[in-house]
Amino acid sequence: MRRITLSAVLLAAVLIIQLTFINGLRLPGGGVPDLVLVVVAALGMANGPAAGAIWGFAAGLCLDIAPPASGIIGEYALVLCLIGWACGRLSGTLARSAWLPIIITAAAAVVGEALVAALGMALQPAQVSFASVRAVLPAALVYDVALTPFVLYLVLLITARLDQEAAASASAGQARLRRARAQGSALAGGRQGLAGTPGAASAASGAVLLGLGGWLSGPPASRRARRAAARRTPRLGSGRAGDGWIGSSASARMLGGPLTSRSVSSLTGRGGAARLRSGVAGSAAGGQAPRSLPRRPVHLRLAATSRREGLTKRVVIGRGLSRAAVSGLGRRRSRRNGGFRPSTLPGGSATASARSRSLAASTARIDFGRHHGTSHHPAGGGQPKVVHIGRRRRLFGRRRDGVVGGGALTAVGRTGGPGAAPRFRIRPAGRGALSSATLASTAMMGGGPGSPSIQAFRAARPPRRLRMRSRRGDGVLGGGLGSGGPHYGRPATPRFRSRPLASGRAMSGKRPRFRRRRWAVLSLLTRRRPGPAHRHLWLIGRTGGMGGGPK
Amino acid sequence: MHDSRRTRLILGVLIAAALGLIILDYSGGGSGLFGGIRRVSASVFGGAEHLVSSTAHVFTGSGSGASGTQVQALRTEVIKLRAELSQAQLSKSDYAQLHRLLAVAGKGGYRIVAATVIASGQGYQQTVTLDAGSRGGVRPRETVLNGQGLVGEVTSVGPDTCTVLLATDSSSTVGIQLAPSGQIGWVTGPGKTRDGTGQLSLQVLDASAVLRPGEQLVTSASVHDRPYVPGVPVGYVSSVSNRSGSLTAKANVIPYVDFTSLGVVGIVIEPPRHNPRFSVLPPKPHVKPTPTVTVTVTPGASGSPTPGATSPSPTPGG
Repeated sequence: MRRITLSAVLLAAVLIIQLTFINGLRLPGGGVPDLVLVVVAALGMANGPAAGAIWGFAAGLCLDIAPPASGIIGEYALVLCLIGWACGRLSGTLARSAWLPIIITAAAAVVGEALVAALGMALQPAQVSFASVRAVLPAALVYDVALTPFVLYLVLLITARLDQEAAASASAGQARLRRARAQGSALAGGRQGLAGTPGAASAASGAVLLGLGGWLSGPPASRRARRAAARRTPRLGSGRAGDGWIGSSASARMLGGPLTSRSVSSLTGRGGAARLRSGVAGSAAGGQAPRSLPRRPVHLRLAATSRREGLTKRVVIGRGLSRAAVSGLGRRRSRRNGGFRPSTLPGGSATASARSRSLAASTARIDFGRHHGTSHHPAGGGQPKVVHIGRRRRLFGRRRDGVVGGGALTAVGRTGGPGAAPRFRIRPAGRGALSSATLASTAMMGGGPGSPSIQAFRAARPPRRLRMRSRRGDGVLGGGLGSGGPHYGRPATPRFRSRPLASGRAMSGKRPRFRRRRWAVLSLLTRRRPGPAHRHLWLIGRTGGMGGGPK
Repeated sequence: MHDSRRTRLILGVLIAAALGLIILDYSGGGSGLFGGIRRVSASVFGGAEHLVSSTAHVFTGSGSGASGTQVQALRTEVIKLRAELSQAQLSKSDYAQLHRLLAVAGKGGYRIVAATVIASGQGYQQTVTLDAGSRGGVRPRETVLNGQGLVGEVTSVGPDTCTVLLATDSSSTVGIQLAPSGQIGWVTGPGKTRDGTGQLSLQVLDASAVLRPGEQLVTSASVHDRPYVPGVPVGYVSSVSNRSGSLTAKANVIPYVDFTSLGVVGIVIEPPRHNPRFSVLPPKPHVKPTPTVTVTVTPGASGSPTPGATSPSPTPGG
């Protein structure tokens, strides 16, 4: 809501300033900067494609009808709508680089000016002649480009500030969450928390909290309390928001898209560097996040970099983990080297298949079978577990179908629709129906915080028993893998100390590669520390003690 | 708010809406609707523009509060005084403009409404908004002038604002009359130019007319004095380009009005009873150093071969 108000006020102010002041300026070169265009591009950068398109259209329409306008109505609306959308579409670059967004915004301004000129020449040849375009356009472009970084920075700063404030007043959502949990209906809580629009700060932060940790009732106030809580709480790995929490901060991040600091800022706790914790899968106590993290998407991979490293037989995750989460894979890797295909090879990797649409269309499935990743395998090692996360309501497309853990939350939170919880439909494969252990592992796998049923399960079953047999480095979901590395400057290599894989050649494959983080100037400007490597790699390991965990 | 079907739907709807508006406006359908929209927006945005530009005039020094020290107090004092001074100068220049405007109006017998420019057009539109509207008696298609000459024509009117199409817009065409000879022609605007003050291009109807640099132009009477009342100074001929293929003579005209610094202007709400003809014209521009010195005319009529002089037209038409 605040965001909307802010954008409206900003655009209105800029519009009036443009018409009364800037257009009357007498600058060398003849042209004047188009501040409205630049602001629309920056807003698109900050708020995503839909908001960018809407604000662009609104601002353009106002430009078309505000008094001195004599052009054709709809001209600027069309151009600015497209520009806002395009910038929003490319807002993911904010996470990757500091210069790229500026360049993109500047390029958008250039394209916008050119479009305006072209439309003018096409529709009103009497008023816009090629000679005048040629005379005015270069200077206008120069001014636009010169103006872009400042405007972009300002808009991002304001947005970040706003989000921080919103997070500060997030107690409402938190309280709601607690209430809901007290009622034992986490699902209701989730829905309640997510019922609002994504723009609504309180709802969003409520959702963030929901996604943060199932049993975490918000970050404790003092450092000591936080530490105590951290000690009590089994953890998966680093407690930083930028890390790949399955279902926790990952989903929190994804709530607001890559840019919003909404999620980050609500993680008001301040964790130190990542700590290695042997933990239970899914026990992401993601509450302790540094106050100031750059807003960047979490690159969460439920995958190994090569096929044979993952230890879970097969994890198929729909797009629910969202573009932000899997952009690394989806956008880059999978296209380039075809990686991350769901593999059914022996010892096939845990694969978040981001690119396969065919996958996402169906139910997501998590297969913890001990043997080849088929669900039809007879009982291997006790419980063949085939958990189908039922298809969520297909409200907004297929991509956000069944998601492990917080992914579902993500989709719900982002779309703001009626949050359908993933339904766990257990299909008994082999003998016997679902045992609680199955569910347990599911919960652990899924990083339960997001999924209500997991929460319910957890409520019933305290986590300490789950910790029993999990050790550092033995490939519990995320446990110990890859955590801590980037914070000390050197990426750690995950160790796979599990039982050797069937083929024996598994580990001879590629090692997971980490990318070093990039130093983002924008994050420097916004006084946000660059977080951990955003392209963290998380493996879903075979759970050493998980299968037989709680009985 | 990532790219999703919803986003694409939104984008599609918005683009369709924009295209629909463009088509509707371009084809001229729904002009009543757009008229209404423009009226509403004129009252809304016009009011805002009026407010902003009037407050922008008041250039209050941003004294950062009394900080206790004397130096600070003195500094704020200085800032305040400077602001007052600049405001006084501003209003002095406004006053001068108004004075000249009234002089012109009185000479020509125009009844005018004085107004100030509060906003200018976006992009390639050479339009401005004035802070006088239908409540002040302004109607569309009326002449706008200032103390120097013709500014443009009122195109649309809001309750408190009106939009003026400047004479430099390339879609504006003004019928003119050449000062001494009474030749009839028209000038069209250059559109946006690099330095802001482009030259109008003049075309006269008479194929045998001989244009000379320095000749002055006034508006010729339009039908029912709409949109241009007669006798308003437009500019003077700066250079003649008599191309050998063209049917009529063409020339460039330097407008009298400095379109980049428009301040106080007047809207003629009542045309003069009699055609002022050339009486409003300023004194002839001084003998300009014409760039085309290579005239080297050797007529037998006039003896003195002064090469630099533009041929002085003997008697101003009266």
